Amino acid sequence: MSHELRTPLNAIIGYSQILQEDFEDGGHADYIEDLKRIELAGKHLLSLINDVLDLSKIDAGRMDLYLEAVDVSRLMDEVFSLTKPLATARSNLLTFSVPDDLPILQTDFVKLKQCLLNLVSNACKFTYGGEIAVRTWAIDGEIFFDVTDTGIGMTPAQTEKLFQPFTQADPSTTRQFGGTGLGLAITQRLCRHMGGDISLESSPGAGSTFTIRLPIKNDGASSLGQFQMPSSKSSKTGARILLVDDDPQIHHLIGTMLEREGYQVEHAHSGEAALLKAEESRPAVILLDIMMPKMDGWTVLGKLKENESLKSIPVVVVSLLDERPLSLSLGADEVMSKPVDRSQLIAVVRNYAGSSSSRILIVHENEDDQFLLSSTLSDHGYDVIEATGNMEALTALATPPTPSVMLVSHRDAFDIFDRVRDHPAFADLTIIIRASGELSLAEAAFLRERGAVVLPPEINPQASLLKALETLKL
Amino acid sequence: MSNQILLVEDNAENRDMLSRRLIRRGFEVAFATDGQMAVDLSKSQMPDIILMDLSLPVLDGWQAISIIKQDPATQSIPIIALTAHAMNGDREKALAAGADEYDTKPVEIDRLLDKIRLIIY
Repeated sequence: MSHELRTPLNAIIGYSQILQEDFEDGGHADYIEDLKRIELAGKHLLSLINDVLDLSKIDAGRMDLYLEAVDVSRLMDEVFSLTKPLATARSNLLTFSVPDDLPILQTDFVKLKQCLLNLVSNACKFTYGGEIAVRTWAIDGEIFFDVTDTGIGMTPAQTEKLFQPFTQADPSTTRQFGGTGLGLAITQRLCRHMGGDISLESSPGAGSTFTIRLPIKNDGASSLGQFQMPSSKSSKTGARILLVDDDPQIHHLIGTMLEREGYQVEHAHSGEAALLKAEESRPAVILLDIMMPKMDGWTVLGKLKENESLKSIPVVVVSLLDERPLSLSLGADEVMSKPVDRSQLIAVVRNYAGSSSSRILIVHENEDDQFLLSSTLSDHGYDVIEATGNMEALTALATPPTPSVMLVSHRDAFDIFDRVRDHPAFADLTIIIRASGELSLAEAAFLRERGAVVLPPEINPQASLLKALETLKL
Repeated sequence: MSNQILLVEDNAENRDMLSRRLIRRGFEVAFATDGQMAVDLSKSQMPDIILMDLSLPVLDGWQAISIIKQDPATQSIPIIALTAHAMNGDREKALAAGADEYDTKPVEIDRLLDKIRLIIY
């Protein structure tokens, strides 16, 4: 089909170019503008056709890979020289950092280049007078490429649809910048076809970072997108840790260390993104780098500590600089130096965020029966904290590391519900109710509607509680 | 003496467009409209360079390239393969068959001229 579609279009584009050359030689300058419009429209239609055909080919599983030895620095040179004019035209500073010791990749050169060109030219389109940084690094048999811009950024609602065909975060961008609305859809499919994937981190006003991950040696098997960047992990396991660093390698390294321990890691690549992420995800601990471009770690620390709702979050400064006294005087809770020692990191994080298993708040009704419950839960690896009465319970809920589960008797439940429902900080909280007698129909409906888990009245509720926690994957 | 280009292209419009633009820039252009003709003409004309479309009747472009590149009489003639589109593997197949360069259609005349000049001069 492709040949049939492209051939007449080639003639339209080609003859409009020839006529422009003819008219440039022989006067008639007034026709040239119109011919340019024909040529541009023809080229736009051609790129649409090419993109649609590519997409359908990938989706139909007919896109072949041509694996070859790829020298990353040559690849990056080509991408740089092709995108430099675009960056300059929009007054952007374009920087590429490519380490010398990268391994030779075995992958499809043309398709990888297409993916990178697509990301860098997108970054140029949506950034004006800013910076676009392309970085690559290899670790654990994989290579990563990330493209960070200081552009307009996107809201979560916009990023959600971004990889779907014919969706652009803002539909008016097609008119302003051209583009088919298929580039990212194709890029994502190509990356997966090559055994890797692409992920995205973005906040409005704080720019965007796209990261491509590929195996260094492609064995020909394409992945179906098992790859999830740590930030998209949503299972409710350990406490949330916000990792702030401009170096993608640190994100990979520390992120992996923490995730292996079961923590949920949120990533921010700039000071600005860190502040937004901290508001948004309410981490139990923030790991903060100091030397970052634009907003540095000191500024971030100051802003965190000035903010009423964020100042209670413990901040651990992780930096090459040895600035312990200054860090502590500015409000940091702990200071660690790079390179990070794994066991020290885990110990520090555990100290501030609790163990990586779910933290369970038990709200006491009467003292004696709860002791058995809390020791059973601790024995099963849960991190248990206790509170007596609803006021204490609410305080515990609001203090980081915040519990992900609250166990409460049904007599207390209704009062607590009134206080925690609709409060965004408690959106992730799972509430388990110990029924101490028969619930009325209205009570049962009320609790169900709010997603609470109700345990039947039992003298020894340990077994059914553990089972409920297991079912909830907590 | 101007450089001679053998343009192998079965589509009359494409042939006309590209040749007009090459002639305008001082090249002498000979045509072949299928792969077999390309093989024959490359031997009899000994052009300075061959621009080869790939989907061609009789012999396709890849076959023609590999024959030309295997024949000691013609193997030194540089060949630029013209592929419809960068993504579909034509480039790799053309290079594997022995093409020296490739370019994508529709032809960007300045880009193609750069590649021709790099090879000829």
